[in-house]
Parts: sequence; C-alpha cells; structure tokens
Amino acid sequence: MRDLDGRVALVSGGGSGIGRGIAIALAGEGMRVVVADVERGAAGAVAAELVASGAEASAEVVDVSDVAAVEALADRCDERYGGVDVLCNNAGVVGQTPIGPDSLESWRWILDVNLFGVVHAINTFVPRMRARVAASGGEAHIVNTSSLGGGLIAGDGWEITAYRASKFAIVGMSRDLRNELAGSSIGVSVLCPGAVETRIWQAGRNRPAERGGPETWERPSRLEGERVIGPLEAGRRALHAIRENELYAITHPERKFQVAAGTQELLDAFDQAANTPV
Amino acid sequence: MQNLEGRVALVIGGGGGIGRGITLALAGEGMRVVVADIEADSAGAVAAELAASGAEASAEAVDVSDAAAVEALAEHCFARYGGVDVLCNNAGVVGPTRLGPASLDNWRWIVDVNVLGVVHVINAFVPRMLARIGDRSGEAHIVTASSIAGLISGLGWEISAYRASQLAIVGMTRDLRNELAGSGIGVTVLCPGAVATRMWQAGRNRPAKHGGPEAYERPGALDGRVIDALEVGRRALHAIRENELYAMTHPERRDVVEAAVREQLDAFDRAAETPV
Repeated sequence: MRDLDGRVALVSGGGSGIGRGIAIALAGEGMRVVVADVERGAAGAVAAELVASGAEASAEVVDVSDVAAVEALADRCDERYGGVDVLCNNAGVVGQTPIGPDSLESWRWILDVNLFGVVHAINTFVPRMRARVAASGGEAHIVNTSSLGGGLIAGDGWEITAYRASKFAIVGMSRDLRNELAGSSIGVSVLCPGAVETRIWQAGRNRPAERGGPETWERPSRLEGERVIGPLEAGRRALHAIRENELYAITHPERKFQVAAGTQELLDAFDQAANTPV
Repeated sequence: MQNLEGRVALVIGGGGGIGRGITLALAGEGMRVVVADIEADSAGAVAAELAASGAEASAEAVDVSDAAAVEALAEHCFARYGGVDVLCNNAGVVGPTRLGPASLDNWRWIVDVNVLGVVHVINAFVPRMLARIGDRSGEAHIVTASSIAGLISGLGWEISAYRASQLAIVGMTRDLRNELAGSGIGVTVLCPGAVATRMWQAGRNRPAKHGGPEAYERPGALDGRVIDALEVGRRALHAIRENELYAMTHPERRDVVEAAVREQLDAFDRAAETPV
C-alpha cells in the first residue's frame, strides 16, 4: 500500500511502546491516526504528541478483550473518518504463567487480550474494510503485532508460555488472513519484533479484577548481547511492511539463526519419521 | 521412556479417533490405560475394547475446558493408580470461524478446549507427576496432540481458530519440553496430517454457552494421504520411546512445511537488506 497520505490509521495499544512507534511512523507519512489504548491518558498523550508534530490525530479508549467495545470503536471510526485504511492490532500484554493452577487467571487474561483482541478486531473491522476498499477502489492494510517469540526459537521454559502461545497463534492467524484477503487489495503483515524498549512488562498494571487484578512482574533478564531497539524503529519497520505488503516484518535480522535452528529441528523430524516407519 | 509395561497411561480424548489409536498402541505395550473423554460412552467403549484384548483399562468422563474437572481427574488418577506415567493430551475440536462477529462462539469454544484444555491438564498433572516421579520409574512422558495444519501456509481464515490453536500448542509443547528438561519427563508434540477420524463432528459437543451443538461440513476433502488412527498411535508410541520432540505421521508433507518456514526465514534476509 503506497498511498498513505490523508488516509486513516487505527493503532490499538497506541498509547505507548511499539504502538506509539507505529503511530509516529504513520503520522509521518501524513496519515490521520486514531490512537486507541486501554489507558485513556496514554492514548491522549500520544495523540497530543502527534498533533504537536503537525499531524491529525485523535485518541480513543478501547479494551480489545471486550468485543462490544471493539465494535463501538469501529462505529466511531466510521462516523468520524468514514472508516479505517490501516489497522494495527498492536495491543498486547505479557505476564508470568508458571506451571500450576494459580497461573490460570493470567493465562485467560493474556489470551483474552493478545488472541481474542486480534480476533475481535479482525471480525469487526475486516468486513468494513472490505466494503470500503470495494467502494473506493483503494488499498488497505492490516498489521498484527506478534513477536520474535512467536517463531520457532528454542530455549525458553514454560514461564511466559501464555505470551508465546498467543504470539504463535497471531503468526498463524496473520498468514491465514493474508491468504483469505489475497486479491482483495487488503494486505496483511505480522510484526515480529525482538527486544524493544517498551513498558510491556508493566502490563500487569491493567490486569482486570476478574482476572486477579493488577500485578507486578519482573522482566526476565535480557539475553547477553541482545540488541534492544527503540519503538520508533519498530514503527518504521511496520511502515516498510505496509508499503511493500510484506507478510513478516522483522526488526532483528541478526536473530535469524535462532529461528533457523528451530525450523531445522522441525524439518529434521520429518526426515526422522521417514527413516523410522511404524 | 523405554519401560512401559505395567505403567499408567492417561489418554484424554481417548474415546475415538487418534486418541483411541494411542490407547491401543499403549495397551499393546502392557500399559494400564485410563481412557478419558467428554463422552462417557465413547470412553467406556474404548476401555471395554482394550479390556477385551486383555489389557487393563478404565474409563473417565472429563471436559478439559473445565479446569475443576481436570483437577478432579488428576486427583482421582493419582489416588487410584498412584500416578500417571504417560499423559496424552489429545482432546481437541475443530469448527469453522469465518470472518465476522458470528464466529466468536466457535473461536471461544475452540480456544477453550484446544488451548486452555491443554493448559488445565499441564497445570493439574505436571506438578503431581514431578512430585511422584521419584517413587515411580523415574521416567514419564507427555504427548500433546497438535497437527501439521498449524505449520503449513496457504489456507484462508475459515479454520483459523483451529490452526491458531494447533500452532500455539506447538509453541507450548516446545516450552514445556525445555521446562522439564532433566526432570525425567519427556515431552512430544504429535503433528499428524490427514487421519480418518470424526474430528469434523466435534460440533456435537459444543456446549450451550458457546452456542450449543452444531453440525459442520469439512471444507473439502482431507488433504493428502489419509492414514488410520492406529498408525498415529504407533507413531506416538515411537516418540514416547525415543523421547522425540516432534512426532510426524506424514513425512511426505515436509515440503509444504518447509515452504512455510522458508518464507519466514527469507524475511530475516530481506530485513537485513532493507534497513529502516
């Protein structure tokens, strides 16, 4: 999708971190940006930052785990802007889920936001985006934020598996959505960042009461020598993927070896099976 | 895990299809098999089939999407058998999830059973298995059923909930294997291709809170060589014996999986060539 100037972008989780980086990158292309976040103050601050830089922006509050709230957001975008051209499903949380029944509320919360948040947005916005594209003859694009951890990198234990499972699912969903929309002028990308300087490990501040309420987690230590990028770079990578309609938006190409090792293990299993008939 | 004779296996979703195939393979090695299924009758029929063949088997009803029911099953198995040595997480459902709000019931149902069902089982059984492994043979194994459907590209959104759940299971199983490395508990993810089962009739058990029972038609014929559930059971057995991470039933599908992972790997190269 090349023609971004004056078009409408919605960035969920846009109030901080990678979402803010995406919002800034898209506003820099002249897009009108709807900054949506579960935190009203954060969305407002980023919208104000964009406006101060000369862009057109507005703030919306949305809890993506609430399907009715997502539908209401889509209605407001229709009313105010006539629809959305670039949809960035970026809201996401992380928390610890060690083995044992105590982790279940965190599991539910993480899947509600990370997985169902994307499902709600796709179910709600894509039919509207299809209609808009069909009517205008234009293009549109969807970016889902996953993680490098949504690929077959090895070495982690169970502790953040809810997060990883949700990010795996988002990779699969993005591939399926891209195939579903092939030929429709709506492109699909999945953003798979490595380490980015964000507050995602403070996501527990927004864990709702029915999932155990706010909680504080400590981020597991960074890998030694791991390159930590700024959210603006992640935003520029997302922009690049939108322009080029790339399926995978990769921020840390130097970590290819990890994914390559994981995928080789998977492919080797096919060979092993061929060599050991049962 | 080589020594299976007389050990206890629990096969969840064992009342039909791949689960039944696994129970037959494990019973054939002299394991005592607990057949658990959401359908008590199906579990009973398979347990009776195993007993008729000379194996020791019992049946239990469980809905894996109900954490309390899974916890109760774990409590019961450990009380009655002293432990579970081979745990097979095989319950799973499929249903269509077309674009649009109407699919949300199926999304919830499929994630409840396929993802949270596995989570409930891991949370309930693994701490107990770890606590007892010293009193047992020192070895145990967990097999979680996924599918190569999560690993290949080229499909649309229609069964995306199922595919997303199966891909999530691959990630979870890899993490579990790392988590349990050195504990004596091996971990396998079973990734079958096309198998002759009643999987597409799973909608008969869709609970009222997710819209109630529904009949689905499988979108198109099964892709590729359709194998028997007993062959899948033998492949799972092989993976238990050899402690393989991946149990593949359709080695000829390597190419389609490779194409999907190749696309991802190529993206790293492209990113390296296009700094932003």
